[in-house]
Amino acid sequence: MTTPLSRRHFLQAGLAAGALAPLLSACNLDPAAKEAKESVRFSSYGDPTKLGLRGKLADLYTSSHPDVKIVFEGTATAEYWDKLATQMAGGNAPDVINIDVPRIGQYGAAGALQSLQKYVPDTIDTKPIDHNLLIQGQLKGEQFGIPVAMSTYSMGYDVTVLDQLGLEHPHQTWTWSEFATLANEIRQKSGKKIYGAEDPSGDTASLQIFLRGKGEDLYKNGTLAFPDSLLTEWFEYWAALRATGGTIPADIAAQSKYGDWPAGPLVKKQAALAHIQTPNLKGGFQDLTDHTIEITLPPRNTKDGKCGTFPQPSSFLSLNARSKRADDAAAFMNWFANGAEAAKTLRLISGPPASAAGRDVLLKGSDLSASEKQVLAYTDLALKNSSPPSQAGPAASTAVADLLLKTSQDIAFKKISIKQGVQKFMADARKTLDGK
Amino acid sequence: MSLGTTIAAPAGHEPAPDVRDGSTRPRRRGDRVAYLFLAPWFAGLLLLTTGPLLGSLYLSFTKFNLLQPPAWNGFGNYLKLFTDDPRYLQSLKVTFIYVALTVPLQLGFALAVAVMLNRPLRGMAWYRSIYYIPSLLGGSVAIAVIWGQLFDDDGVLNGFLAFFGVAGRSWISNPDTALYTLVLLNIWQFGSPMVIFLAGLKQIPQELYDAASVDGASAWRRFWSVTVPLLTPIIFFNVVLQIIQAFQAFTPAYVVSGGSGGPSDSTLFYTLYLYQQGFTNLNMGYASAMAWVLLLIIATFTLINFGLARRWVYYEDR
Repeated sequence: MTTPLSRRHFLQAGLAAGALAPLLSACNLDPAAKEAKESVRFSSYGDPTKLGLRGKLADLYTSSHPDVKIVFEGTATAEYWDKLATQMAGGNAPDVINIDVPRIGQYGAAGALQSLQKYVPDTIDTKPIDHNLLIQGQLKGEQFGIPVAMSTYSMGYDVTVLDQLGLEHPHQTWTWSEFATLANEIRQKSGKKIYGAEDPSGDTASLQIFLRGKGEDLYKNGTLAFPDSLLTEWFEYWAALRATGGTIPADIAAQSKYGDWPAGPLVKKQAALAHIQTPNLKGGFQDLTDHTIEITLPPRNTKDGKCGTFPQPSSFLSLNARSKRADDAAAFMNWFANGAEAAKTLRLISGPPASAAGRDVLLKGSDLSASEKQVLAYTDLALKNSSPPSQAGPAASTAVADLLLKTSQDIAFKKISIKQGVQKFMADARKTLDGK
Repeated sequence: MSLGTTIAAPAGHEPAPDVRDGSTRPRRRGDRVAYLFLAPWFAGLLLLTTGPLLGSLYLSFTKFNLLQPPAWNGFGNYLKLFTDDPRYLQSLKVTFIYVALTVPLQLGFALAVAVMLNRPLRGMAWYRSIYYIPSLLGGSVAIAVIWGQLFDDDGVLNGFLAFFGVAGRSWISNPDTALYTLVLLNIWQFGSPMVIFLAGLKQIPQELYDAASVDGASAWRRFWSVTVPLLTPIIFFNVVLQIIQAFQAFTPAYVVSGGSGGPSDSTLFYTLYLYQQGFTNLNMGYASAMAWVLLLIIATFTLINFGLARRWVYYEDR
């Protein structure tokens, strides 16, 4: 039965389409997407304070550059990566993308980011940026991310507790065995009221510091770069401390691993030693406790051995491979990374500026706060003591981090032996890294 | 446009006019108008539900990291799920334990409360509202956070235990107990099955109870021989619904474990592992395969339920 297209049918179809039209266009109602034609979209992650400052920075750029409008899209860290991955898949990601160390490899290798090589050095001046930071944003020798600030692994200690117990503060060249002695002393002298240290045995960043001190590393060319024996040594070290109360017990460790810093043992005064990434010193630790927190270099293997720490970019600015305003975006990135206004606005919210130009602006100002001075002094110390940076982790490094955490918990809760744990971790991690 | 015409088309090709009332045309026109009004909903169904649904079926046979086009992987994802992924099997185990514990306990609790709230007391409406409140809050992140605090090592529960000289532990961050705190959280949210039970209880004719009383049946006997048999359709409905919901549990585990499913994967719910694979590890194809297996699991359970229902569910009108 065929019906010729009558006037009524035509009208109906039209009406139906009319009814659909707003629905279809609703898919495109995202205001940012609409403005993308004449604006540069810039997405960033962080806590509300950091996002507020970066939003302010975007406005500042817009007001001083009449031809470009920076549309700022700030998202809380917890949701940022889900959103970015979805935007990428939908072809609707922002032009300038704030991205972290593990993911720049993941996104860059997948062709989601644009090489910035053609903008260096004319549009983006990379000379003032520390070489060791810069190479961490390179993939196969090409620049894919511009570091904006630097974050350094440090060992934090509770000055108030150590002074109360009459214990000496750790010094710059302390060793892992001195760390263990101090941790056990804290436990004993406090009358077993608090534990010595946090338990970082499931934390890849901490393991990396330990491995680098031994001349090894987590990854090399996308595979695990350390022998089983070192992981065994690492787990045994923490198991021994766990047995004496030198580190927090398994259930407190499992808890502090969750969520944010307020759940950490240093802030909760359950332990007096814990590692701190420098940008978090103020907001994540010092502001949350009435005790005084000080930072120093993490322990080494031997007195004259290598210190494992190295400055890392807190995050990068990268360019979306599909960006239609790449030139404007690159200019904005340079202004963000090297500009005086940017340094003055952001200060040390993500750590000291990666660019020497930005650091100079802050050092010349006479308004440095106590914790800013602390971080700047420590960064200086760390730069002097650091070795060449590690290679960027492979795409599956997030899955390997999950695996290390789980293995450390299995061991701490005595579900498996250290030997079993190490074997299982190495086998599973290799399988994960091979891409199954 | 093309979508609009395809949706409008069935109205134009209506093959079976209703001849009994002799006037086919007005009826057909009515249908068309109805379809027209339904069109936005159909569009939503096609674009926002059916499309993504079929899309995920396709993706489940691919490797897809969201950034590059999906690459065909045949049954690779499904094969890996059951032969080469211990964390997946762990997530299955956690989820099955959770479902097996939470469904009967929650329903039993809901039924008990519903029976208590079915009595003609003064201010009963207030009691009912109060008992329903946990369910209104239940799915929220805030409650999951509070739950974490309650069962923490320095939480309320341990404070209570310490009062009696019992040394507590961190219930929520111990792999032996973490899952059970989440089971408890779900039982506490008994409100919605409770309300359904309450409505069912109201339907049971009072004469039956009176007759049973005259025959000398005790309260317990009246419950088992009158209430429970007449309530079986409601119980069945709640069982089906709660099993489906329990399989899909996500928020409490995500919040309490900070998204890790820890400690030691003891709260690694199926949906949580699916989320980790999809969004943390960007294995969207693998996550899609997991989603389809979950659909099959839930469908199987529902079918089994309907099959068994013939044996124990009593419908008065049959």
